Amino acid sequence: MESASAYTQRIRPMAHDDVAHFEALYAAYQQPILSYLYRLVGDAACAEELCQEVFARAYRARRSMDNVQNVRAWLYRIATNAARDQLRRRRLLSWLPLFDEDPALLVESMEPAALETYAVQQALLKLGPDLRVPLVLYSCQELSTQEIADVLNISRDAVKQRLVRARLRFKELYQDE
Amino acid sequence: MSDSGFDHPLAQLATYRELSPAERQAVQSHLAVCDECRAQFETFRRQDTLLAALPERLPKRQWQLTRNGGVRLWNGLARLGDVMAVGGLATLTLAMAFLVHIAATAPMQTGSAPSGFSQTPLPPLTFPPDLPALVNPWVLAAPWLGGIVCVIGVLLALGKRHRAFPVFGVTLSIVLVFGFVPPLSALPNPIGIVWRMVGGYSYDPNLPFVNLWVVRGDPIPRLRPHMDGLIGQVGLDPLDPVQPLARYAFERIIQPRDTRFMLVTTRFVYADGFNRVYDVPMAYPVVGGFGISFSYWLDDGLERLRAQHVALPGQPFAAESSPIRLGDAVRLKLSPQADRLDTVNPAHWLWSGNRLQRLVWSPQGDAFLMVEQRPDRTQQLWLVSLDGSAPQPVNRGGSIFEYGWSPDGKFIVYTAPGEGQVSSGAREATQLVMTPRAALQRPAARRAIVNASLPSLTQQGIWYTQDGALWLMDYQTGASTRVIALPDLGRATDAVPIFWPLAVSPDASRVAYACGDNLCLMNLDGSDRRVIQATGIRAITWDRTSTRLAVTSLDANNLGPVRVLIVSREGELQHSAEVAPRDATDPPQWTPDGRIVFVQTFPMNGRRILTVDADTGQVLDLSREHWDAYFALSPDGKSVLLNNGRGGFWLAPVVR
Repeated sequence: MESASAYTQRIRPMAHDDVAHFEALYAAYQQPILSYLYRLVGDAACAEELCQEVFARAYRARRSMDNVQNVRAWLYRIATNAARDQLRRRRLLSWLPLFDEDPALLVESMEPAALETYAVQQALLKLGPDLRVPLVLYSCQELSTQEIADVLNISRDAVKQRLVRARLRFKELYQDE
Repeated sequence: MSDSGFDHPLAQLATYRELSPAERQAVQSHLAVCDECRAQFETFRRQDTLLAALPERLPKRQWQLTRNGGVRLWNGLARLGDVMAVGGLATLTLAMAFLVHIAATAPMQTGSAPSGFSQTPLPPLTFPPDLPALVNPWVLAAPWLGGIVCVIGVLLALGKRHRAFPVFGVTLSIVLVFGFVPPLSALPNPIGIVWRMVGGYSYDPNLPFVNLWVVRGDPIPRLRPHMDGLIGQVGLDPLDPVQPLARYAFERIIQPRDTRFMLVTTRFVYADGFNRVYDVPMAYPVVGGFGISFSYWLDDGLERLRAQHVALPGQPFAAESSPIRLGDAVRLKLSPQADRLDTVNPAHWLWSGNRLQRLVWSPQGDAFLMVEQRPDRTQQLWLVSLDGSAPQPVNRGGSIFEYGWSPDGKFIVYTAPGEGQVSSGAREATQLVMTPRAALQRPAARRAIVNASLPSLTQQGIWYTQDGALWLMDYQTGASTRVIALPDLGRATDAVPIFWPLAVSPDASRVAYACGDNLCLMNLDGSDRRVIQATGIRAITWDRTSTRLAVTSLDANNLGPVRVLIVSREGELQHSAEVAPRDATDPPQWTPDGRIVFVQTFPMNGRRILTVDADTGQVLDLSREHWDAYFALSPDGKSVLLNNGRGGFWLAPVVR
């Protein structure tokens, strides 16, 4: 799979070939976007569907890609909007189960490492979307604060502020878990 | 520490990764002296580690972009479907609203025509009485078109859900295009096959949608030049002397079950604004290879209107100075049902349909009999009263051969195939039926016979032939008695109905009958037998005084002329007059004074009304241009009843 940086290096020569251009974009970002969506919505199937929708939206809007300064931020912005739409539409934020099985039984059967991962994910899902998005983008997806600002269409200062609040809230939630 | 401001140390701790070396140095200096901040920093670093350690999610399926146009096609169809659905629905809604508005604001125009046409047709021109209102054909078609476009659009748009929908939509579109859009619709197509099986297809010739395969070729190109040729001519409504034809309009084309014909509903509009509608038949389409039809029909229903009315040799038209002629025809005020009897029979318009009707007056002159050809090719005998009441059916199903009245008018007698049989079947199936006028549906007698000709009806009873003998059936009892053997009567040689003309004189003293091609005449006791040489006998009629008889003669192969023979009671051939070059005739009709014989002929330029003077043998043609009528001489001999098979009945006085 082509990395995002490799994509960035060869995207320009293919600018005049829509399909080739988009294929490269897709190859580079499908997996990161899928992971990002999974961390936002906490449901694998839903994340898969959203990922397809994200690239479908991106394909439909591919004509405007030439005017985009930061393609990665542009793509994450589409993914964020898609996830928000999905969460808003299905009201998943407060009640979506992470697993089909009884979480208590699941936790008892987990290895310590998996248990920690589970606790992190649960704490993350309990975080409000306004705080969860910048935290995931910064810590998981390793976007810069400027890129996050581009994704959320807010200022960089606001991003930093949200990051502080997100970290403090996440600390409390994780301790609860 | 405060929570506000991005320059707050917490913000620097939260985004430590992005700090410059100098900023990091400053932060580390602070952390060395601040336990609280150092603990917070460790917490944040721990968070980063935990979050970064969350497992990556790998896609279950690798989606690939395809370079073929398939997706683009489906998406394009879906977008087209959206537009079609909205446009079709809008068209449907607007058209329905417009039609409702028209219906709500405009009065029904039954019996008249809309603006541009006369609103009050005169009584003689009200056939048929329910003239359809003329509305722009596109207005009537708009709801259908809108509905179809909407349905197809929805099917295409549903391609977002499942590919089967647009596939069905496209298939439906193709079927409709091949079903209704020429020239593609000239090819065999599913809709056409259904219509041919079901029957009753019709279309508006003013719209471009027609299933040419069903109609076997568009009849309009064939008919239009003939209609153009009729513009300006007078008397195109037979028996109605009206204004010249000003224009015409084709309103509907109907495919009857009998696919040899096509009916073109045509509105004739005259110079005075009055109009009437005919179903002009086209006949015998030319069909090419692979079942593809051409726009060509062998016969058109305007041949009779285009024909010139010229006198045939030896048969001059009656003039003012002639000893006998007919006055102007006056339309009878009968019931609408009676006026329309047999009008759907397209053969009345064609040359090939000559002897299709025979009108028979009741002896009292208050009613007449006529036959109606039904679409299923059976015949219905009707009793039509002059008092305006509805016509009454006489027979119940099947066909009719010949029909007549008893002299007192109390009984109707007819020959027909066996009950329930339509066409000519076995000899035994022919039957003689006597039914009282007062109870038409309850025949008083029914008898199987061989001879399909009308028996002789006198005051004594019904004279008919059976088993080589003459029989007499009593009107009241229905009982038959054998009268005399007729040894030289024709013999049945096959299993088809046979016609042996027979006539007993009104005084029941002599009998005339066809013996081979000749006419035999003898007393009822077998004495005084005479044979008059002829070339075939078609019909025999005695005058009322039993002194003379008129005989129509025509050879069996229809090669020679039709002649009327005037024969004396004793068997002397007094006159032999040619009345038609060939083809069928009806039985001769005597005037009450026994001096003139009326006879119907069917030459190729119109149905004729001929008279033969029994004293001199002079022949006169009493018919008029465009009358083209069947006729029956009234019992008092003062008028003739006329009908041309296109609706309505007229009386023309006999002027002598």
